Amino acid sequence: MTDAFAFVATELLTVDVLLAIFFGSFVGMLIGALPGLGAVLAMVLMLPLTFTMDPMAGILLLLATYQGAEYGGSISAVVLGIPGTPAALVTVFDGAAMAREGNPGKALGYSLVASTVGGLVSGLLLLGLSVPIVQFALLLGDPEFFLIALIGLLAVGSLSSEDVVKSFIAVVLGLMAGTVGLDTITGEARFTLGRAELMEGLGLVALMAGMFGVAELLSLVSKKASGQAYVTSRKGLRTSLTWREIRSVGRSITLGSGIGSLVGVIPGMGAGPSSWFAYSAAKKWSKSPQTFGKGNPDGIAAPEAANNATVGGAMIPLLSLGIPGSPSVAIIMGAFIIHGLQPGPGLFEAEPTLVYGIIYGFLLTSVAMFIVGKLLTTGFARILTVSNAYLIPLVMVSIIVGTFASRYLFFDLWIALAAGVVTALAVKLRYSVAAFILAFILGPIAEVSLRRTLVLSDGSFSVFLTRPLSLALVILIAVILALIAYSVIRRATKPRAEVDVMTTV
Amino acid sequence: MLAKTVDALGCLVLIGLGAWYYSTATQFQDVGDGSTPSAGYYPKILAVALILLAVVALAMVLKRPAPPPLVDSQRVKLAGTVVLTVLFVALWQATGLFYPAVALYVFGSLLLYQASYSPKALLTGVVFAAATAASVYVVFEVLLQIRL
Repeated sequence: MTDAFAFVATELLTVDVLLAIFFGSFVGMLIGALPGLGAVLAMVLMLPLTFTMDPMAGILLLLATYQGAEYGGSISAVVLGIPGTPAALVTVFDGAAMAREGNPGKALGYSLVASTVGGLVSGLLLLGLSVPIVQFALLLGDPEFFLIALIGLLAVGSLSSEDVVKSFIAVVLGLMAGTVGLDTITGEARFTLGRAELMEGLGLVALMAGMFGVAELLSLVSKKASGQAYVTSRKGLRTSLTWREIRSVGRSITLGSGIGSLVGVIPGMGAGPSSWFAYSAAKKWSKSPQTFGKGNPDGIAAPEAANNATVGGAMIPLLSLGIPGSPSVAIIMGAFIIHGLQPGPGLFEAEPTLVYGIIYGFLLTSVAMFIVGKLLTTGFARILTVSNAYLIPLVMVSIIVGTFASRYLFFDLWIALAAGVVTALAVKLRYSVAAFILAFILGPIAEVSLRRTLVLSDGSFSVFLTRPLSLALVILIAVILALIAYSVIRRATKPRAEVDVMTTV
Repeated sequence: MLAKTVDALGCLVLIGLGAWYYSTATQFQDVGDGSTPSAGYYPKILAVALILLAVVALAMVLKRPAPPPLVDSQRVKLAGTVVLTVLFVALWQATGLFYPAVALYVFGSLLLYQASYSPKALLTGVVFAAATAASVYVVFEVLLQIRL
């Protein structure tokens, strides 16, 4: 324990790191509060700032942004009744209802406390589980890494969109995009169309900026409110709660934190589903479920704890296995890669100070979010009056500059713009963007592991059945495939209207 | 109906992409005695998977009722945003002059979104465009040392 405090004091309590954490919390909350601009866009905008930073400060900046945006989403959910982020959609039900009763500050207070506790709980889980998982991961060879990547891809494909076939098409397209560039085993150029810019592969920053930044802005433009200013009352926004009020939602916060942390670990799920699960569980176990949707504090606390707890949960597979579970975490992985670092078990041995700095620093990001939220929530509510007419060009310029700064290539800007336009159309046609980007990142891991495995086994696939751990993973894959098939058949045989209701909820 | 046509065309494009990807992947030679998978081994698996999935998706698209319209409102603003952004990047690339390009882009975007051409709106646009260019200069060039 003493060592941990000494570590935090020497590595984390520095001006650079603290500035990064507080700045990230501020920007994340600000962008999260603006309807339509979610955590991913906030992180895309912050990514270029990390290029020139120390890796630890840069990654904590992104984590603080992520945490801040998840809380920020609840500000507009409560004040305007419009969720700032998809994960805050559930918070609208009871948050906006409580605000209409004249208590927006209380609603935001519940949200802030729950978000902070959710973040801290998942941070402790990250601290406790990462090392055992890494020790387990060190026992794994190429066959197991290939199978784990395959499990991640199957989970992402089956969970990230209501149209499973199109979701898997997105997975395959992401894997194909990941093959562009020099082959890491033979050194041959693949699918580069003779362009020198593609030798190192498609730029991760350009793809992210286009698919999550440009596409998001195009979606915002296509909404009718693009030229309007949001109008809100800023009265009664003090976020103070009594100890008794906090204790009254203790069970929901615990429930939300647990659900959020667990859901975060599963690739493809993310903060949106976790807040829905937590809300449903809190309502189910409540003594007064009939008051949900009418300003029940538990209806705010459970989903808000869950969406912040998802952040820490999602970091567990990234840090311990090198597998990102959501687009936001993929951006954090991008920051690692930009700094020449590969997340995974090897990083714990090669860069222990950095890894533990990130884990302990994650706990600090929750504390910083609480402080910034306490001080500035009223101010963020004021920002909601900014017109999208000013906001959209400003954000677009930031995305373009950030993309250019990653490699100083105009080629990347064209990739980002093309990816943005195609993504905006693909989302309308129900293709999954999250599935594409996660497959793009997991693709090289899967390919190299598969080919190395086949080299070692002289081309025989039986190696996947003769190693005990591989066999266990193969059985798990068979179970997942069976569940996917069952789900597809059930959807196909149910009446259309019923399926639509299920997928909307 | 347009959305359904675009959806079906998208599936056909994917099938074409899969075919091109497969044919490119076949050009990579096996390594050594053939036990080491070539650089085209994994892409060929992906190409086959894409073609199969796209065929299934096409069948589903043709069977299902038409999806909602792709763009239900703000078509001019949407197209205008894409055109302005492309012009901005093209102007910057052609001239190397980032700050004039960014100011013109922001000014044009404001006019597009606000759809107001009164002297006050034009003046606000000019001031906002200049302020944006100045802010980008301070944040990226001065503070972050990123040359634009």
